[in-house]
Amino acid sequence: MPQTQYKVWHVGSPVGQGVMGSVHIGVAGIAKAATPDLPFVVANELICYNLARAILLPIPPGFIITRDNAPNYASLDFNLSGAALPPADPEIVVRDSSYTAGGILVYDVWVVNTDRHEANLAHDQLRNKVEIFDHSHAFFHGSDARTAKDRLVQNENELGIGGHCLAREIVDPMSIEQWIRRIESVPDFYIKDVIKAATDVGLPNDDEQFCADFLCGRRYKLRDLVRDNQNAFPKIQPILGAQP
Amino acid sequence: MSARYWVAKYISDVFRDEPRNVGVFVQVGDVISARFLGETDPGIVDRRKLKSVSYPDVYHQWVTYWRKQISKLSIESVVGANTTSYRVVEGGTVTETGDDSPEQITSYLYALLVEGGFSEAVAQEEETETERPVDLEIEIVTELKTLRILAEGDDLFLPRHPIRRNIIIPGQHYNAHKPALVQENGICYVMEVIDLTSSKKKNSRDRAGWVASMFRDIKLAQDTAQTIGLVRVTEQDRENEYVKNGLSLLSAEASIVNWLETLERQEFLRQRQIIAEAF
Repeated sequence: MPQTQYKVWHVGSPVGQGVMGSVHIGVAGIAKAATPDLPFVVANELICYNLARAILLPIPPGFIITRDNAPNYASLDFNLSGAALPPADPEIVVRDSSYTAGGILVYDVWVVNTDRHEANLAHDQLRNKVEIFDHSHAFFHGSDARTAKDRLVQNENELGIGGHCLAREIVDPMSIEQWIRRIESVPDFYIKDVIKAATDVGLPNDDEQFCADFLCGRRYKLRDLVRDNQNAFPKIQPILGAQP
Repeated sequence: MSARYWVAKYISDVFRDEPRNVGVFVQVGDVISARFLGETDPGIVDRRKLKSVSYPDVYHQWVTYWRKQISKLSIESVVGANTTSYRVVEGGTVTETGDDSPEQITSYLYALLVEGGFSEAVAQEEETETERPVDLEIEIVTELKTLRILAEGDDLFLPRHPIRRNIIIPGQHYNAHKPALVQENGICYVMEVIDLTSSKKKNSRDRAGWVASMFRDIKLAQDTAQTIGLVRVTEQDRENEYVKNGLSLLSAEASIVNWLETLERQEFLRQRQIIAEAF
């Protein structure tokens, strides 16, 4: 996984004696809180972040902070090139980072992300680095628990990626297969603990088991989902499912 | 006819949040025109002009993105692509654009909103394309001094309406224009110097465009203002496309005096003298 830089806004005093050269620093981040329209956004971001990190997709480090007595999901303000990049060009992302593009696509199928577009995909064309962010509209997303759960149930046998900006450009079936294998290798305990942690920040306790089961089960459906929906990937030759 | 415009802003420090204008988009009907800081031609960025942009590589990628969206006539995606470092905001509407082309309106707004602010403020060490031609200005000033109609220091024998330098004239959009020369007798005569004989014709064109936009802004604020472009241009220069373009922009906003033409020069000086000494 490529290294990413983050915006340091303050370099403070040395940590102290016995700590060779270490200094306190302030690193910039971006925080979001739940809203009436997106009551599970903090839990959702935390889940999606942990799942992306588990398979080493390029996603900025995220964590929970408290702001105005409410949990917020904070992610480090990543810095591929020093300043915020323009929306990515999906064709160029796939051309320059075909393997990573395959990973993003499969991951989004896993977490039922219907909102992957050019503006939540950063691509530094000069250094050929990619980063994904903003999963407010993925996984357990809805104005209430019922809606969020229904959305997942309805997408159980669907790709669930809407008009994914990379789907129409992706060309490499082998990368998809390799990323499916990565996702399949994520342990059950990891997924269950990620979901459990999310109940501390807004995921309803009643839906913990459903969410864990959904993600664990969907790992093994990915291959079929992609194979059964090849028309969503017009540039891939129909060899998906072939064993490498 | 009217034109909508948007302004591209660059924020170098998200905590200070002090945006600087780096480009303009203009839409007239179905046509979108744009110009960005550092561009020598559409999409071609001269990095030497980006000394004040912290990450020129990223800026270049934004210019490429903006140009691509414009080619798809998609101003919505341009406006929607807001980040912590770059954003595009609606500027407003320019009314009564007359026969001006979208490119002319873009040049005007660019000069006003980008060069008049950000670029001018940060590019003091650079030779900007709007820099006043010193030798021509000195030549004109010398003539005015000889005629004793230029206000300087503690001259006790000034005429009633002398020509002054370093006077700030407010425009409608920018309130601190500082033209080369100003003469006031109830009417404000605003004069600026443009050398079109320079070997850098493109820079001359840009300067003429900038002067035209300044004149226009002043006239929008003062109906009666009279604007005069003091140019130096040869017949050979006039055949150059950039010079033609610059002169057409300028002549749309001002009367033009070619300093190389003896008759024009003498008539200009005679008029200045009459106005300076009249009651």
